[in-house]
Amino acid sequence: MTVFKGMLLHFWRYKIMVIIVTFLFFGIAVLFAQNQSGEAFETSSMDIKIVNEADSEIADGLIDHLSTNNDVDVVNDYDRDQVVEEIYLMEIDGAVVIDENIESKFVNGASAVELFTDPRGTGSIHLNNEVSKYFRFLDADYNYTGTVDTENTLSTLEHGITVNIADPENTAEASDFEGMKFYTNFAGYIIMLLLLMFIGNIMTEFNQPELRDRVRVSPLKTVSYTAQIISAQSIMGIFSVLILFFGGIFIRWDSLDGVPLDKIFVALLLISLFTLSLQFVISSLTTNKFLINGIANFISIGMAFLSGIFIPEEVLGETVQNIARFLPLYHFTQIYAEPGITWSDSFTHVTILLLFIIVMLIIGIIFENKRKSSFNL
Amino acid sequence: MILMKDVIKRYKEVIALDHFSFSAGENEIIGLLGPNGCGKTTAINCMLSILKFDKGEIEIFGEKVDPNNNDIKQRIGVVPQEIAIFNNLNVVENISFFCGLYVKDSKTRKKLVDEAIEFVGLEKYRKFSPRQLSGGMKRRLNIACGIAHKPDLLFLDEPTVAVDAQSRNFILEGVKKMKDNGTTVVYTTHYLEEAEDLCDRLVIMDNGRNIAQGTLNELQRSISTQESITVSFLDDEDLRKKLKSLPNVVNVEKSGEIYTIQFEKHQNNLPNLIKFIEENQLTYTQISSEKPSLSNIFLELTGKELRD
Ligand SMILES: Nc1ncnc2c1ncn2[C@@H]1O[C@H](COP(=O)(O)OP(=O)(O)OP(=O)(O)O)[C@@H](O)[C@H]1O
Ligand SMILES: [Mg+2]
Repeated sequence: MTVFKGMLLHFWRYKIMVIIVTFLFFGIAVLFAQNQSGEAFETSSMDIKIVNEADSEIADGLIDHLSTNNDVDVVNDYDRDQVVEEIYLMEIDGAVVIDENIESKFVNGASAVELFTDPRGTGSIHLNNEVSKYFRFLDADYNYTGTVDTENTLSTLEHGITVNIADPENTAEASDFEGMKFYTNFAGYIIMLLLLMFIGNIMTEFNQPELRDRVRVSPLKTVSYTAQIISAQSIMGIFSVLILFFGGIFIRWDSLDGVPLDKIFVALLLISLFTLSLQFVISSLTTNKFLINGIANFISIGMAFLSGIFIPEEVLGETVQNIARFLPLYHFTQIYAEPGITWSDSFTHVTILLLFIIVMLIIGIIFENKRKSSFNL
Repeated sequence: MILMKDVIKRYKEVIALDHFSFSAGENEIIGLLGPNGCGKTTAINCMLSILKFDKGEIEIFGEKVDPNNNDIKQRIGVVPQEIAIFNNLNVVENISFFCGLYVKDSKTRKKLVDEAIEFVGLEKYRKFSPRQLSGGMKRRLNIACGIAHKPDLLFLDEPTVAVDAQSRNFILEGVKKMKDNGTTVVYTTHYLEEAEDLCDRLVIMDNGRNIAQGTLNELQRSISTQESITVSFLDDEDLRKKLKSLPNVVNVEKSGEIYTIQFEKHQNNLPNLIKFIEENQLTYTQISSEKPSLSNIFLELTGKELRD
C-alpha cells in the first residue's frame, strides 16, 4: 500500500492547483449555462402591440405571423409617446406600426413598418428577426411568382418554424441536451488535459531511475507495485469523472430533460481510462517533465479541435471529419450524440473506445519492457 | 554473508568488473576502496541484482542472488550513491515510503521512521520538503531512507560525499552503532582516512579488479614500505644521497627541509637514523615515524594517488 499511498500523497500536493482549475472550469460552465437559459427565454412568447393603419393582405399576414407564438394586441391608431412609455415600463415587449401604404411601399422595396423596441431587452432582436423574416419570405415569393400571396408565405414560414416551436416540450429538451452536450464535450477535454498533466508529472517522479532502483532492491513484487500504481491512477481518474459528472448535474439540475446521463457517465469514464492508458505510453517513452506537459497540451487540444469539442463538427471540413473518426475523443462525443440515443446506438463507439484503451495498454507494455531491459544492459 | 566469485560485467566495450571476487563476513564493516570509475557501484548493483552480470557467481546469506528472491531483499538495506528521494514528499513521508516497502505494519513503521530520523539527526526538519534541505541534509535523508527498516546487511555507496565534518562524524558513529547492533556493512568511499577509521576489512579495487584485501594491518604488511619517517633538518645541505645509504631505505623524498624516508622493514629504523644524525652533527627540529597509510598502500599497489 505504500506506493499507492505515496502516489495519492503526490496527487494531494497538487490540491491547490486542482481546486483552482476545477473552479475555473465550473465558472466557465456556469457562465455558459446562463447564456443558454437566456436563449431559451428568447424563444418564449412576447407581448406585442400592433398598430394597423392599413387595410391590406400583407398587413394581415404579418399580424398572423406574429400571433403564432406571441400575445398580440391589434389597435388602429396610437399615441407614439404612450407606446414608448409602455415599452420603457416593460408593459409590452415591443410595438409594430404598419404604414397605411404598406402595399405600395413593399412593392417598391421601401420599409413598410416601424418598430418600437427596448434595445436593453432580448425581445428587441427577436421582434426584429421575426418581422424581417416575414418580409424576406414574402419578398422571395413575390420575386418568384410576381404576386403577393401571403397565405403561401405564411405556410412556408410556419413549416420552417414548426420544427422549432410546434412542440415546446421538445424544444426545451433539445436545448437542455445541447447545453449538457457542450458541457460534456468540454469536460472530456478537461479530463484528458488534467489527467495527462497531473499523472504525467507524478509518474515522472516515480519513474526516475534512481527511485525505481530503490523500489527494485526492495522485496515489493513488481506485480504489486504495478497494481498499486494502477489503482492510484484509477482513483484519480474516477475522482475527476465524479466531480465533473455530478458537477455538471449540479449546475444544470433544472435543465436535464432528455439528457442521456447514463451514456454521458460511461463516456466520461471511458475517456478517463483511455487517458490513463495513453499516459502509460507517454511515461514509458520519456521522463522529461517539459516534454510530458507539452505532449499533454498538444494531444488534448489537438484532439479536442479535430473531434469538434470546441467547434461543431459540421463546421469543420470533410478531411478533418474523416480524421476525427480515428480519434478517441470523437467517439467519446458520439456515445451521447443525441438526446434519445440508445445503448445500441452508442455500442459501436463504446467498443471503439475500449479497443483504443486496449491498444494503448499493449503499446505501453511493449515500451515499458523495452525500457526495463535497457536498464539491465 | 556475501560471496562474490570471478564476476565479469561489461557495458558494451567497458569492462566494469574483471574477475572480481569479494567476500564479507558476519557483523563486519567492509570497505570497498578505489578511484572513480573502478567499478564500486557496479559491484554493489550486481550484488543487489539491479544489474545482470555476464559471468561469475554471487551469493548473499548463502543463497544465489536473483531479482525475485524477496527473502534476501527483505534483509538488505541500500543507500545509493545518487540521492534517490521524492521531491514532493517531506522528510517523514519519504522515509515512511521506503520503509513501507519492507515493513507493512504502520505502527512498527512509525517507530522505525522516528528512529531513522534521530539516527541522521533530522529531527528539526521532519516536515521539510527536500527542496528546503541543504545538500548535506538531503544526503542524510537519503541514508535514513535506506536504513529505516533495520537491515541485516547494509550497502552504503559513498554516503558522506558533500557532508560536512560534523555530520560525517555523526554518520560514521551511526554506522559503528549499527555494526554493534549486528549489521554487516559494505561501505564504499574514496576518503581513505574514513575507511582507515571505520572499516574492519578493506578491499582495494582498480580497473574492475580486486587488487588487495585484508585488515589495515595485513595490507600494511603486504607492501614493501613498512615504515615512513619524516624529519626536518635545519641544515642547507642536500642529504638525500647520504640518507639513501642507510640500511632498509627504499626511497627518500625532499620537499623544502622536510625529508620523507621510506623503509622496507620495521627494524631499528629510527635508532639508525638518530645515530646517523649524531655522526653527521646535523640539527633537526622534528622527527616522526608512521606506519604506511592507506594512501601509501594505494600508491604502491596501483601506482596512482587516490585523492579526495
Ligand atoms: N550504465 C553504464 N553504461 C556504460 N558504462 C557504465 C555504466 N555505468 C558505469 N559504467 C562504467 O563502468 C565503470 C565503473 O563504473 P562505477 O560507477 O561502478 O564506478 P565507481 O567505482 O562507482 O566510481 P565512483 O567512485 O565515481 O562512484 C566506469 O568506467 C563507467 O564508465
Ligand atoms: Mg560509484
